[in-house]
Amino acid sequence: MSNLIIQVSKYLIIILMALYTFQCFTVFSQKDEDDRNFVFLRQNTLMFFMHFVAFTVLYLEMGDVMVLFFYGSQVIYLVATLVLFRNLYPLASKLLINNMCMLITIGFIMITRISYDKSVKQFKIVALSTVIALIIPIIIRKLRFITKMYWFYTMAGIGLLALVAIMARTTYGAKISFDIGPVSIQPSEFVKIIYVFAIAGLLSNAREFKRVVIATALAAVHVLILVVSKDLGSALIFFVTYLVVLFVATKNPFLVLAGILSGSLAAVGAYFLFGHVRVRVEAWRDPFEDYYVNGYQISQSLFSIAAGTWFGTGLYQGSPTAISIVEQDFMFSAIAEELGSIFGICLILVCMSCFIMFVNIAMQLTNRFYRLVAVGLGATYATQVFLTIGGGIKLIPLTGVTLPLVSYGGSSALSTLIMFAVVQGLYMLQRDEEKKQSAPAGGQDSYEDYDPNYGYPQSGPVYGDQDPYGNYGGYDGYDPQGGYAGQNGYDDSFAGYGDPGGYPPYGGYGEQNPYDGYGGPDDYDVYGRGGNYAGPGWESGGYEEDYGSQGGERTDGYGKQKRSRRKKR
Amino acid sequence: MATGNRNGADGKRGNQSVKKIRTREIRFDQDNPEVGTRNTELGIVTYTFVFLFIILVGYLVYLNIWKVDSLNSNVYNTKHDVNMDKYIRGSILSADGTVLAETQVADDGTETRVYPCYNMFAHAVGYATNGKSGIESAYNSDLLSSHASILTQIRDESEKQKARGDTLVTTLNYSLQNTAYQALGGYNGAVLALEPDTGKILAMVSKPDYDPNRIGELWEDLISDESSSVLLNRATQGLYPPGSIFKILTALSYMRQKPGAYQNFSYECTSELTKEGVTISCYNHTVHGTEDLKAALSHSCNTAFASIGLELDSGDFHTLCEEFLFNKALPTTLMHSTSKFTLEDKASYGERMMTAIGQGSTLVTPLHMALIAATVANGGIMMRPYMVDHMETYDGDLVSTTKPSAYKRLMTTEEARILKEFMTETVTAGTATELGGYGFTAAGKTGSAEFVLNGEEGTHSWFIGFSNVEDPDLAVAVIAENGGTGSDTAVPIAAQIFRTYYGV
Repeated sequence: MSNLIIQVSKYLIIILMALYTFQCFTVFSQKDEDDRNFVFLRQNTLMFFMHFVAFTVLYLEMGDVMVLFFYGSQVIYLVATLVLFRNLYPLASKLLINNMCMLITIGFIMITRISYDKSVKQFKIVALSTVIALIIPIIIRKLRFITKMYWFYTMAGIGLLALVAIMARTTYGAKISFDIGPVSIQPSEFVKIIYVFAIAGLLSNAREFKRVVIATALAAVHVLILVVSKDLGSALIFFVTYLVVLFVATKNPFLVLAGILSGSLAAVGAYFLFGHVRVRVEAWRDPFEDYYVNGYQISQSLFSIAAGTWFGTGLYQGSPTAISIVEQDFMFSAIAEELGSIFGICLILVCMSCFIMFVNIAMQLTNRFYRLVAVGLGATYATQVFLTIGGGIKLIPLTGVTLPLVSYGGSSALSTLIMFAVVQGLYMLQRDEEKKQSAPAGGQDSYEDYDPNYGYPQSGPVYGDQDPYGNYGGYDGYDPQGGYAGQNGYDDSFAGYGDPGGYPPYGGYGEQNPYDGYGGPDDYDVYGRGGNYAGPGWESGGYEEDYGSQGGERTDGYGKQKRSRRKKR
Repeated sequence: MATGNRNGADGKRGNQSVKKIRTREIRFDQDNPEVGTRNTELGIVTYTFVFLFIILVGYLVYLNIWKVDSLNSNVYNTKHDVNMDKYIRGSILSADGTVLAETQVADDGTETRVYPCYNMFAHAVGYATNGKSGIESAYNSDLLSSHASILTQIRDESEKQKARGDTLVTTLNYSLQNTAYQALGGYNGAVLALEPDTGKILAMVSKPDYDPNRIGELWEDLISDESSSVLLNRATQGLYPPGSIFKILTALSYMRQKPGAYQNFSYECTSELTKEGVTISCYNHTVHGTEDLKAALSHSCNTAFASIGLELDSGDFHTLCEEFLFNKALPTTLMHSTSKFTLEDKASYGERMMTAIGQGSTLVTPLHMALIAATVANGGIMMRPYMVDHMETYDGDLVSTTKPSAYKRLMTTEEARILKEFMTETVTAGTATELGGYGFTAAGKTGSAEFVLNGEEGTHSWFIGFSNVEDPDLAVAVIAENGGTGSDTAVPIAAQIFRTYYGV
């Protein structure tokens, strides 16, 4: 009978996961906020149901009552996480929290299946990390200066990485971790975060080319140390993250092209210079050529995926443990083997949804520095997912990084949870600053209406309401005249901005002032896209028809603002 | 500049396009670019990463659709060994139902893999302990999984019985295999027989052989004896110099390179041809006299083909051989070696002459040569060779059938017709006349491949060909190591196979 349960559960898990994933992308077609919240709750139900089915199978297979207690603690943890995040941070993105819990759940299931002891260890670390993550937004809020210490982060990052390169224990050929008592810490996981703050800080006022050069040089130092430590995965993540932040900061595609070009040259150079790079590439080209030594892991990983095919073997019916360090670098292959490739595809899409939420939050941030941090963290996350899954399925050479939140590993789990929390925290920070500004200016209450759960695009003009993901294409079609017509009216809000009397504090805000330079028509779309103005009362008119009448006032405000800034200089 | 911007925006409000340009300028020139952020860059970043994620999904789909079978049958793949605890390994049958391999379960539950035909199918079927080979290896996952109905499986489970894995019914023909096995006799070498129009392999013999029932006890001896390499399936993995059978490809290359001239080809054979110190001579120093291309091929005239070799463009010759799958994997999941053809543009005259008559550094597998004979027989289209006809559940329900599939057209019908004609001449008036007189027509090419091993010279005896020239039924490749000329040893072996096939 248990065989039958296992077979049926296999399909049930896939269906639940597929429904969950589907709702990650369709939830924003719900116009009404209550409807959305209902969908988010339904996602939680699906997640708990999947968790239950999986642990039923695990219990049947392992036959240990401890599994039931373990399951119970996990449920308590997940419920607590969902409830705490929602109540402490009502404005946090619920989808991001749901996805975070879903990934953690998948991690729990697979790590328990691979090794019960490791899973218990992981559970403790994740629980502790979640507590830390819960207070991160508060810390950022209270001690906002810590987000500005980018010179310190630059030095700390380089220092830590250098220390790793010199002192660390060598694991699987790479120097990545320190042993402190019973725990082993991977500093690069944490440097990743402060590195993003560092480069965002360095580039957020990249007015001159010189500044860009300095930032590039400092980022390159990070990457080079990692290459020397043979931590190629992290090196690539740092590199890609830098390019993304550079692009968003300078808006200059040529710098990025130059970066990609020099990166490619460096990669070719590394291939010829470093044996360990060559070995990875050879194993990628033909893993069976050198099966017993360098091709072993990737061959086994492919065998796992092939053994699972679309629907998987079912939990405990495969042999994912044949892949060495499966619980870290090859978690995806283990999942593809036992839960199936369809589940694997859903998992990729959930990770993609997380990334899109990161960028979406970045879009809603008007403070340049925060934007860069958010998009940098998003790029870090997405690159890591791409490297680990791509390496496991032999799309790209193996780089040895973990699947965030799913793989076993305390440093990785903690740093990813911090990452998720920081992004939510940044958003709250911005809101605080907006509140302060809006108090003297008056008429700014509309910011309060913003709710990130209202959608990725929040009925911004270019997205369309029905397909929040699909219509990013609208960006390119930006047209200050035509692009705004319709959905969001700006007439009232412009009046507010344009009133010179309302803006006495403008000049004093300095560089962090998100309204600075609001005068150019080009700049309106920030608000339109972010949807910060999408208050219910503003749908009266389009930008087009109101443009003329609003122009004079706005120009006045603009001029005043510019003057005051010039004075400051 | 900021003031300019404002004035510009005021002054040009009516002109949209100019204003647009202005705003763009402002964007780039603004002395404080951190303000007025736009989301275009973020959109591009999102696009880029979403694209990467989609590639991940796409590649995973690709793996599942196109790569799963070859990964599951990969020799290193031991994934399905876990199923040994759940399934009793399925049986392997010949096309006519003879059991070639089955697992017998003793009362105490001990499982023994039994091969009732002993050595005869050793290489084709392979072994399943001490590693795996042959069909046992290639279809390991199928033998260790069951397509029996869920109900049967539940019944088995409730009775604490292990389920029986699926049964493989091969394309191998017992009587043909028996004939081939007996005919090769004491020679080391290989025999391969297949249907040209389907690619079904009917017989596959490799010698020296072993008793797969005793693989466990023989193992140490088998792997320590490197000189005879008993475990090697010579039919698919043995690499031999092709000798004169290669002249089929030399002739085809000549036909393609000299489309107008080959009909008028004429060569005066004096039994020897010398160029730059290398002398090519005909076998037994026979003087063939004046001959056209057909006669040169059917008499296997070395000097005529050496002179053709001097005329051929080596690069084009190389291209043709690679089209015919030299230096490439054959279109099959059977484990096999890759035939080698190394002639380059800058090759010396000696090398060109040697290569043209199949000596040189060219190396081929019997399977590959059988496929080339089959391609000529099949009017120029190579079929993918296969050995498992269909799969059944252990209680006889059909699970899946292998459908014959064409690999590619490698030569035109006309080219195939001409080569057929040449090869028929070999049987009617050339080196393979022994195939005549049994009531079926045949075509082929003999080969006597000279080799030097450990300082000793010898000649491998080759034959490739097919029967019933009008609508070929069976293509064969025979190699008897150190068996002398093709006519002496390989042709009689082929004759016995054809005779068994037609029952004459």
